[in-house]
Amino acid sequence: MAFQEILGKSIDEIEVGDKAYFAKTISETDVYQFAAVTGDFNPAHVNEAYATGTFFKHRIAHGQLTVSLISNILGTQLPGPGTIFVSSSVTFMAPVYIEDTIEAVVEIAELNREKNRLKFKAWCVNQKGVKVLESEGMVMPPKKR
Amino acid sequence: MKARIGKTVEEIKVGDCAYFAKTLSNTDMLLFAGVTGDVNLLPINDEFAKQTIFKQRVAHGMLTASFITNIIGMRLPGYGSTVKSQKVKFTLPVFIADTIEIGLTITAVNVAENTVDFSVVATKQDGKVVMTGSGVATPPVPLDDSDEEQEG
Amino acid sequence: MDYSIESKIGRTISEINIGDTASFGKTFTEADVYQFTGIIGNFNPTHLNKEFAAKTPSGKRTVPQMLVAGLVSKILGTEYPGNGTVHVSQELEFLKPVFMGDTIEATVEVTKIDGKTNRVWFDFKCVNRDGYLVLTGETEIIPPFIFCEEKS
Repeated sequence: MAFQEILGKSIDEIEVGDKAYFAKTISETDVYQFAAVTGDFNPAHVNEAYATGTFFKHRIAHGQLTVSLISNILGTQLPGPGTIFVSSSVTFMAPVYIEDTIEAVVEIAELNREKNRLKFKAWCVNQKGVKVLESEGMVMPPKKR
Repeated sequence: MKARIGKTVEEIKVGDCAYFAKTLSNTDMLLFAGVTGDVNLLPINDEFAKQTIFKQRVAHGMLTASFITNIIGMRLPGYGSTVKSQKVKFTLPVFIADTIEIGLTITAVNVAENTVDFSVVATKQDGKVVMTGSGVATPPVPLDDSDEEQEG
Repeated sequence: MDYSIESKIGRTISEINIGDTASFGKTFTEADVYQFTGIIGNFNPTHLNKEFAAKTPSGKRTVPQMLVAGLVSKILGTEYPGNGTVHVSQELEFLKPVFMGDTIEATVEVTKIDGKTNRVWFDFKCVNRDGYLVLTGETEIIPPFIFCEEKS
């Protein structure tokens, strides 16, 4: 098995402006499993009684859980399987609540074909169209034989 | 939010193919046992499995078969698809740490019925075939997004 | 530890009779759906995206079809025949969608036994609370057997 057929797009198959999307309803299970995997049991995420007394009024999803939807796109669609994450920065703009449906978008911003690196812009919106986070970063797309 | 769908029946051709590969972990097998309730000791108990002809734990056949829906739901046809029927045959046992690659090929397209026929072959890292199968899937149809504002 | 599978294996072929049935029912929760899609990697929005599902004919997120089929695996692997059962082949026909919160009852029935090759065939059906068939099919299995190693 060489796995060439499962690899995503190489840098030569990508253009500036290319976009890809992923959307999902964030469930309580997602938040609790994320807390379990990372150990981040911040009461803002797993304690509804505490959360009602906070500015947000309800439990909110971990910021990094929403960010991971971007990682999903980079790793499975654009560029896709075989991609190596190099760097990224994120700004959180609005809370994500349990049962919100979040759509992540990745757009290719800059290509460096010589070094096999690309810069991307990304953002996530909720079902009301409110932007909940913005991100930008750099990845190395897979190289194909 | 726009309802983004996979390939419609008009966008699929006979011979189109897609792949998925994963190394089976102990976690996959235990979670699968838990979520389905199939706590057959053969996949989850080392001591039990050692005394069988297989000598080690064998993955649930339905776990391997479920990976077909990964390709149907994610790649070909993709988002919004459903499976109408599916037939599989398990030809060799799959063990923990085996890497399974599933290839799915479109064998017929029926535009009038909005269905596609597919065949699947699953191999493991040594190239041996562990599962073969076929089925019929319903590709997505465009959904009403008239309530959406234009993307800009 | 002196562990013997003899007391733990399910029914061997001599303890299986044509016409025997076994059943299991379960309510599918959101947690089931999210765990299952996580193991398989099938993030089809029909299962995980409320906004998308609202635009589909069913209107709601559906339970993955292979998770429903897992009820059959659960019966065969843990109840009848039970521990040590191995799947050989399976045919599934999906007739209706299943939604989170639905309770589905699966029943299997022995239809054929081949003592020479140690194979047993079952028909199965899954029914929802309104009495509608959601899934039917047939499956071929190897029932548990005591494996005696040849001394060399």
